Amino acid sequence: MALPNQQTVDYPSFKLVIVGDGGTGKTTFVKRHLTGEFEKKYEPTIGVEVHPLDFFTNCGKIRFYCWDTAGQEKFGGLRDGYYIHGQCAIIMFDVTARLTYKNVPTWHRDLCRVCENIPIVLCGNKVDVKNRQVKAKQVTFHRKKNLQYYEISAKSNYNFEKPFLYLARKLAGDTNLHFVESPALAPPEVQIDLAAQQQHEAELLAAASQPLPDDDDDQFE
Amino acid sequence: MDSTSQAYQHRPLTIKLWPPSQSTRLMLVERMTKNLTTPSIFSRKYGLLSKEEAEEDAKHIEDVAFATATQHFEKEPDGDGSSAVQIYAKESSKLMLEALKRGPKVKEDGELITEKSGSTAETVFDISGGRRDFISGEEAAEVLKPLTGPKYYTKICFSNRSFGLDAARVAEPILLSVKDQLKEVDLSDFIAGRPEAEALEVMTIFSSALEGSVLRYLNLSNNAMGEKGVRAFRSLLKSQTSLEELYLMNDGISEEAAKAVSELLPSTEKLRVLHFHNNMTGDEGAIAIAEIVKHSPALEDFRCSSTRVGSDGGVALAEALGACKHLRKLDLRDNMFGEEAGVALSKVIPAFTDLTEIYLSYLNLEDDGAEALANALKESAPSLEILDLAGNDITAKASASVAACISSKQFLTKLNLSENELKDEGAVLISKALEGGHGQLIEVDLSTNSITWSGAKLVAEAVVGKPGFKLLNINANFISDEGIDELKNIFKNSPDMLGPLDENNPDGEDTDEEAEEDADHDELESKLKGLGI
Repeated sequence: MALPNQQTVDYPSFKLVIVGDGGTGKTTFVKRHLTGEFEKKYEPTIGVEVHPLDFFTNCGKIRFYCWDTAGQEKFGGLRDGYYIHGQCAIIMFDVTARLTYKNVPTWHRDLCRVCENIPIVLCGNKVDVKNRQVKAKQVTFHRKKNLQYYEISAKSNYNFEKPFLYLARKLAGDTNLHFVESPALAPPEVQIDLAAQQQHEAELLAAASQPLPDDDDDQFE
Repeated sequence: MDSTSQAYQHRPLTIKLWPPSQSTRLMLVERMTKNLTTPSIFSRKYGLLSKEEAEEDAKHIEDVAFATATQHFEKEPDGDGSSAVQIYAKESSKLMLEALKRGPKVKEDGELITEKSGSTAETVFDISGGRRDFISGEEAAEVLKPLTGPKYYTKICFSNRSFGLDAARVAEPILLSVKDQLKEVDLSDFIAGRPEAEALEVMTIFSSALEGSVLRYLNLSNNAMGEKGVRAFRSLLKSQTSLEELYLMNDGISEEAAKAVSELLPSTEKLRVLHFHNNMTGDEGAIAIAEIVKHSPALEDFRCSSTRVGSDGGVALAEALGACKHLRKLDLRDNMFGEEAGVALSKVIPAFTDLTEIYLSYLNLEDDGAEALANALKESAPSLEILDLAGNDITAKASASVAACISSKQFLTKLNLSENELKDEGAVLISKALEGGHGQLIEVDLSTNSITWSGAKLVAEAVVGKPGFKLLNINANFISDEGIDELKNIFKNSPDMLGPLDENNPDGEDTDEEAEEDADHDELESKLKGLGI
């Protein structure tokens, strides 16, 4: 598959593949960075959309070509064109829908068939919602596969830049790299409950010291 | 008593069970052939085997099973050969299931003969087998050629292949020529990897070509449709008045898309199966789906799991389901219903006298919602086989109602109460409910319920003696190491019945409390710095 919109630039650029179930917020997350707006209306991505995203770091400019993929397609075969030459990835799930977390291992497997040994960030989106279905302490997959995990909210801007910063550091091989200019974002759509989120983050830290569970097997098919 | 009869009395009675006689073996082949050619849930899904193919399969299955059992008998002769007979039966069943799931052998051209209806042989045309792939115009012409022949096709399945514009244009006249005989159409996952404009045009072409066909089954799942896709299928949907099964799973069905489906379908009077699993309908979309449900009095199987439905949508769906008096299977898992929607659902449950499966896990029901539902179920659904209330924050407070409900459901095969807070108090009540009867019970899941050894022991003792019981999952609880040993001892004659216990926490401390006390707040502060408010 050709690389749409992927004109060459004279500063480092990387192909970033974003995968995950439909409705987890992949497109909204990219648009939030691209235009600063939060897209309220849901329309599924058909096929793939590629968006260049520039960040300014203390080491110079960096570009991610974000391959925002359809979440409804079945795994394998036909998606390889999205993954090929991928240099980093984000796997997104939605903390308000348990099934989207259940499917994370399959997305990871599908991606890693084609892209071996690339830095991957796991993102649990929509943490601004009160009644989350996937509690922080239940998120253990990243520990099994040595991925970075962030709880994010595209709606409230919570942790919105963390996935890109982590990937930029990994790709540059520089743990001191940081963004020097914040992207211009529209104000958050909701105010996140800081106390509640603090509790979730605490759960995450505590969970990190617990033994890893076996893969869950309750099926939603 | 003479010496002969005395000698006879003392001689141990041995009946040789292995090897079976030739007539027994032939009888098994005959029975398997019959089973393989009888329409069933498998033939609906995978197609029905022809008599010849079934016979061939049955002979092969029996040969393999016989060889396996004989090998076992020679290695471990156990006197009468009863364990060899068990292996023979088990192996036959396993291989037969595989044959059923494999379905009829598809010919190179994708043609597939299935069950006969009157004098006309009903034929399935299925190109979904083999590798998932893009299909070009030339390939489409080749693959779809059988549809242009004299055969009478009633079912087509184009799933698992991705149609672009060229392939769709080839398919269009062919579909037009067969649409009047079609009863079932499966177009799930048929535009993967195509750009949006092309995918939507392909959908429109297929929709126009099939417009006016009188379908009983339509599957459009796994297609990233959204509202645009639903409207691309406008002509097809608007012309359907006899649908019995409609599948729109994992289609990116938004609020607007759900409204479009509701608006386009002219009649759902005959609808028996409606699956909306894994979409983005939300509350407003659920209200639109509720409109469809309200006008589907024949509905037997409704699935609206993982669709991001909250309290308002849950209430709307619950009220609409009141019109479905023939409901057998209800799956609403993984939504954010809350107590209010749970209570609303409990009010319509008495209408479901035929209900056999109900999946209500991860709905934030809490005690009040769970209690209302358990009380309602207790008085209805006498033939309930599957009850799933996992992940609903149910505590010991509601366990008496849940236990009473379980007690009244004597045909229960699977019970899932995992990821609640039943603790020992709840486990005791559940075990009491399971003690008497429940002869068909196969599986019980009480994992992640803060249960200690005393509760786990009672549950184990309640299920271990059930004739067909297969699995107790009591993992991720607070059972002491001694308790684990005791549990294993209870299941010593059938260790496979006891699920893994690797996540058990013998110290019985809830990690939530640890988290509150021990969390490193400095690290937390740095984690929260990224908040752009």
